[in-house]
Amino acid sequence: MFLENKYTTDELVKRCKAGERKAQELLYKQFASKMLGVCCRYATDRMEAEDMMQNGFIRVFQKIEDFRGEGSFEGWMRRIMVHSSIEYYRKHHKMMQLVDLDEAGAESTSNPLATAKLEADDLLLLIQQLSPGYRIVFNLYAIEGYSHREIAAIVGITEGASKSQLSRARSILREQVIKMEGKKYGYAG
Amino acid sequence: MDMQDKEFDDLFRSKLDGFEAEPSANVWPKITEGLETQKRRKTFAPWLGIAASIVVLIGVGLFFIPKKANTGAKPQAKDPIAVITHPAIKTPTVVTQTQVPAGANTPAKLKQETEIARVENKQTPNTGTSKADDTVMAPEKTFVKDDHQVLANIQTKPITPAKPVVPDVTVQLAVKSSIDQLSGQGIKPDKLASQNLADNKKDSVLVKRKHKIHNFGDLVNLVVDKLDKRQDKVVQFADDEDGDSHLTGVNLGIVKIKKGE
Repeated sequence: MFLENKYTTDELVKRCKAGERKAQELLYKQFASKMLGVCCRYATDRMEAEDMMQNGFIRVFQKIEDFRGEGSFEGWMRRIMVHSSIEYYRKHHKMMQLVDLDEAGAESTSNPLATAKLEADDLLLLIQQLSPGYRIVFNLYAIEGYSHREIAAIVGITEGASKSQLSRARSILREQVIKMEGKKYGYAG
Repeated sequence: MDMQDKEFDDLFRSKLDGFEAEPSANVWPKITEGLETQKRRKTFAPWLGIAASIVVLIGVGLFFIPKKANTGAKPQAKDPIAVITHPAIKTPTVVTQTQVPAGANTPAKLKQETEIARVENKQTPNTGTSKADDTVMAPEKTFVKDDHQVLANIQTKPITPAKPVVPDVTVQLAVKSSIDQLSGQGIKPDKLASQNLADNKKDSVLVKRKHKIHNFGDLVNLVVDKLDKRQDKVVQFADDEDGDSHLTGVNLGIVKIKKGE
């Protein structure tokens, strides 16, 4: 344990570029839980998230030579995880076309700040219940902070589709948030 | 509304951006396994490429060697396809010339006439050949028996008497066929079949074949024939039973593809 903490990320990256397996393992241990946190938002469950992360790390180690040190290594890794998660859907689901239109409900007027009462796990559950198309766009826009143009390029849809999927994702989430709060805390609050 | 959306998004982001989850212990072994297989694939990839191209080259070689042997051994295998032959075009004049000496009936001349007859038969699409044959058969048999007893005695099969049939018929057929050509009608499959039979009977007769233009494939063949003097043309078409042309051969120098008959 002491040995693991002795190395900085930069050093580990350097050793990983040389193909050192031990350094790869240390780097993995350093970032695995954070990266699994990212993948969890794109997955339907934990199993899927681990598969996504596994593919992501394999790609990280394959492409680590391309990392030039511009920006943080963690940010670079996160982007790879996001792409690997989307790639996973491309392979395993015909995702974007399979957006369930019935899910889109009426726009809610409830105070969004009410979500403050909900924990991260609850919100994660709500996101995981979205259909893949909504989930990916909402994650990329609301949490990763990509623009609609960037999302369109990453996912391979139009900007318009990205916008409409985002607003539908939001309205579904609002509805679910209200339901969940009602269950957890009662409407009287 | 925009503000609300932004706040809504921010809430999710603040709660989930730093979200962490402990992966199960079996993920790292799977990653190393994945890296190993990728490595192996990388080192083997060039060898696989070389091996694959060798296999392909051998395969192509094996594919062409027997094909060439075939074309050399029996060129007549193609004859059924050569539905219409060049001499056929000239036959009306030829026939009228040979018609009179046919009375003399020297074996050589007979043979010559049968050649023409064969060609003519090939060309006649409309007239019921069987009918035509029947009508001519009777006079011919007598004709042969009178002048060439030897022939009649030796060859009792119906095939031989059919040979001299030609002279009388051909004139009619030639006229009809030329009309058919004008009306642009193709040759029907059943006629082709009878031609094939005729071909088999008289394998010894070799006629230099030349296609007549019936469709696009024939046109291409004609043009290519003028430009490309190799045995395997750059592109070759052949007519099938329905008179449709199909690509049967491509010769790009290095890459040769030829469909067997």
